[in-house]
Amino acid sequence: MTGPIDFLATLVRRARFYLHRERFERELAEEMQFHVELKARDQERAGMTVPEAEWAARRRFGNARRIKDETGDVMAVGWVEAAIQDARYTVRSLRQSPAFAAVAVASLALGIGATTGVFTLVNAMLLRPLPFPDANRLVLAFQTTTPGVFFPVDSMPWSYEKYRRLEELVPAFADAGFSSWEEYNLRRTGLGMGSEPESAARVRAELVTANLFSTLGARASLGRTITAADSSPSATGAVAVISESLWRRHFGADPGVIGSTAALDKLPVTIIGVMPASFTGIRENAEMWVPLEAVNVLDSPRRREQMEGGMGAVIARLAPNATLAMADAQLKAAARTLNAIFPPPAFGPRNATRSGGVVSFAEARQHPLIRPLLVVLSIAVAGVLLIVCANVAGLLLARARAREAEMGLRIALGAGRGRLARQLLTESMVLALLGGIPGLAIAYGGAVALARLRPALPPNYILLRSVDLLQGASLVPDWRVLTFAVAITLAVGVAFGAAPAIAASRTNIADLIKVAASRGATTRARGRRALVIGQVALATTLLVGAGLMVRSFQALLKTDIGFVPDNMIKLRLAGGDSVASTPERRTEMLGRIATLPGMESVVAMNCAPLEGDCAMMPITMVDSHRAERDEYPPVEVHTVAGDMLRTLRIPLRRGRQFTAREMQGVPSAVMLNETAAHLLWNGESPIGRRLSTFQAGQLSVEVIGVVADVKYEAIDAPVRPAVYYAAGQFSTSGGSVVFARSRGDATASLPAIRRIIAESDPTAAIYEVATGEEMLTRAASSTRFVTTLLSSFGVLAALLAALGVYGVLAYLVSQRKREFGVRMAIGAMPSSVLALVFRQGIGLTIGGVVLGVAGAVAASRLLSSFLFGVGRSDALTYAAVVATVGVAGLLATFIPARRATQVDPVIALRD
Amino acid sequence: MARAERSELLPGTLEMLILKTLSIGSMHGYGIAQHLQQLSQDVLQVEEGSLYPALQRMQLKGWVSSEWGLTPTKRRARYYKLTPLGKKQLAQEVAEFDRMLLAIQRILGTA
Repeated sequence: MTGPIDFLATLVRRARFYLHRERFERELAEEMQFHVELKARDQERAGMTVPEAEWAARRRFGNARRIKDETGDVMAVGWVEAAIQDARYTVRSLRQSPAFAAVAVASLALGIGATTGVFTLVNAMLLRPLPFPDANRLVLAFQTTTPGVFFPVDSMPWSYEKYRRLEELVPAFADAGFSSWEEYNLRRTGLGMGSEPESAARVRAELVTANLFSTLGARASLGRTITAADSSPSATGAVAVISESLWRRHFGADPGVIGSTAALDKLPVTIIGVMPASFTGIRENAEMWVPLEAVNVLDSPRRREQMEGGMGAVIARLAPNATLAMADAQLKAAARTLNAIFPPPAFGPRNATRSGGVVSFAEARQHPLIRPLLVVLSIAVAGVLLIVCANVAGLLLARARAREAEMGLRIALGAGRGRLARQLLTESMVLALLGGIPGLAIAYGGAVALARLRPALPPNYILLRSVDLLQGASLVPDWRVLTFAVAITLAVGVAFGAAPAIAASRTNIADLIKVAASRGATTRARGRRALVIGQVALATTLLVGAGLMVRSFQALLKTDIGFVPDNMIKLRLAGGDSVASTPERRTEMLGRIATLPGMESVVAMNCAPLEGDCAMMPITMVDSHRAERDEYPPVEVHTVAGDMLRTLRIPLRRGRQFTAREMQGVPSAVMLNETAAHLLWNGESPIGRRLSTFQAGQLSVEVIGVVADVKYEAIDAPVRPAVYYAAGQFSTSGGSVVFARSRGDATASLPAIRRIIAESDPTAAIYEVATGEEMLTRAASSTRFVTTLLSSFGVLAALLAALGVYGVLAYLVSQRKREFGVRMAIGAMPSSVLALVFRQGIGLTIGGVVLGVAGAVAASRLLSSFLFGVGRSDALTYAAVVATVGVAGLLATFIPARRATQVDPVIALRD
Repeated sequence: MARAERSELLPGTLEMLILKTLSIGSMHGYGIAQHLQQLSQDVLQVEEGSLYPALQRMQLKGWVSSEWGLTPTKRRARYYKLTPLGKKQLAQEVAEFDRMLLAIQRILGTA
């Protein structure tokens, strides 16, 4: 009889009832009052007195209260009413036990917050999917060779010439693109630009073949990408596509950028497109893309310096029926063919084996440290979540026990078991919600705080320079993870809160109302004890991990990096106009900076410590002996303009510095670092000896001094042999790094330095400015990140575990209150009761610690990629953690133990 | 479903009787009670208050609508009125009731 429309109409009426509930009840009361009055009037007319009439009318009417309820019930939706009632009851009962509520909500908030926050971070920085369609069909083709001079690792990029032949040789590739990389000074040109040249921005550009964008399947968000037609240069130069971040930073996000012109160093380009924010190129930090062939023609003097048209990466899309294995086999065959055509390099191991391989692009882009980082983070977070769940479970178990009497009473009064279960479920949900909301705040706040650590992974040779893990990542909590965390805690709540209460309610109700029910108590106590031991174990494991990382971080910071980073500024300088940046102008500019107030000294070099960007070259002659190809490892080659020893505070070990005359002119003198001196002359003084390297056209130079080792690659990498040339006639077209040491805070002089540089060379780009301390921090940033994360989780876990120990002991004490009362009544010393409780607590703690140490020994393997200067089984760390957890356990035992001794025997016996 | 809610005979019958009463004209709650008492010659002793939940149910189902108005003695009262849906419901219920009554009578008749 009732169709869907009737149902909807009913729903609307019910909704309106809820909205105007008060008015409904008021009007109903008025109506019923009116009815009774009329009835009373009638009875009066029939002869009753006024009070008799009223009474008769009321009696005839019925129970007004009940009728009001019944009428209201007609409109109410059953389950909504029940739910509201449950919620109200929950809030009331939580308010009556504020300690329980506070601890439960706090634990939940911390657990849910930590889990969500970390997984948001992990999602944001590590699991970013490739922003291309069918990305799993994209592969990277690489060459391999025996590690040698220019390629210290075995995989190396291709040359453009080799790439050109690759496509016919590998049919498994449907399409293959090539991408080389360069850095340029970018300046806007064209209409609206005055005759004043504006200072340039340093951009990282990828020189790509026309088919790269189509191979990737990447589309521009504004304008278009590079196509085959752009391979030949036009009259106005080459085309260029820019990244979203460059568009915002340098072009003010102006849509009119399409068609505007710019200059990359001296190369004119026209901007034809803007890429979406998700596209950051092959190297993941590229900001511009220009057609390789066109640039090779336009910029030929510079491009000819590159071997075989430039070195770069080959990205290919697999043909529909090809597999990775097929492509790999075909590529190896192709490499053999190509290596026969192309001559081997003149440097490096003589009988180097050259081959090649194919790997999925996603895998190639993933820094080798990312996977272990992911594993460590996930385990740490899972550990914390488990501890939180155990805590909440323990709390709910204790609460269920305490409410057995209440449950029994409610059943006796007629409550259905289903109703009880629903009410307990509501309680768990309310708790989970109350915990989830601050949890969200913790997740977001935690993620932001961790992001401020700006973790960066060390350079990965093939594709990436330094990996800034959080580049452009969103830190908004991931709702999927939040839902997952809330669901887990809810499930725990249901399992531990509702189940035992229901089970208990099945036993004899009479027993329940008497507080003596203890049949199920022992199993529950055992369960809680197991939970707590697990918590302590997890906390111990996490703390061991944290401890190992803390020691690694300390060792990292204490490492002798060879220079003093305080009060020092570093900036990179790339002169766009090589005419302006002659050695004379550079010397004059450095001189002006050195005379600034507060400035102590200045030096310009070709590479910076801790940044891993130094050039390596082979040694060609030592004394008068011509070096064999593989006789010596390659050396770092440095060019120095200015007072390096004073600016970087590098100690001089032997000999002397460059003289002013040696600083100019043809290089005749070099300084070595200790490692190089030891390598070449093995303990004998190298002063006065001669050598030559590929630098300076293999000119023979005299060694005039030995300086202390400086770490140029990374803090945790061994020092390489280094040869310092005076900058002399070397041009700075590749850019240089300027270091300035001041007497006070170095950043104060930065504006003046910028001004001097701008006056000397207006087209120069200043970039990557940092203080010495920032350099050190960045070099240690990934270790610091993992350390901070593990330490906070470890401390959190320890606190929660201590809470767990306290909880279970308090519960045990309350259970055995009568027993303790009896003991003390018959003459036991309070200290014996104290000892009893302490024994329990210590037992739990020791059990947990032992388990935790075992777990740590097993799990520390996962940290091995991050440890530095400390072994996996470092005794000091383990000892410290065991002591800490032991003390925490003892402290947690203290309060319940004391409370046990304060039991008044009389009261205990009476209860 | 209307029939499923009436687990006992009386509540359902009450609704039918109220519908019939309102088919004469719109009335307030007391008026309906009076009408039922008088016409049934006091046989049907209905607890007068139980009219109100029944009226509410019928309003929810849309058989009856209500409006505040003034009595002849200028008192404020809520008047109930039969809706077209209610008229249809009345006809259906009367038909059902007659059928049932016939069936019972037949059984009793042949007993």
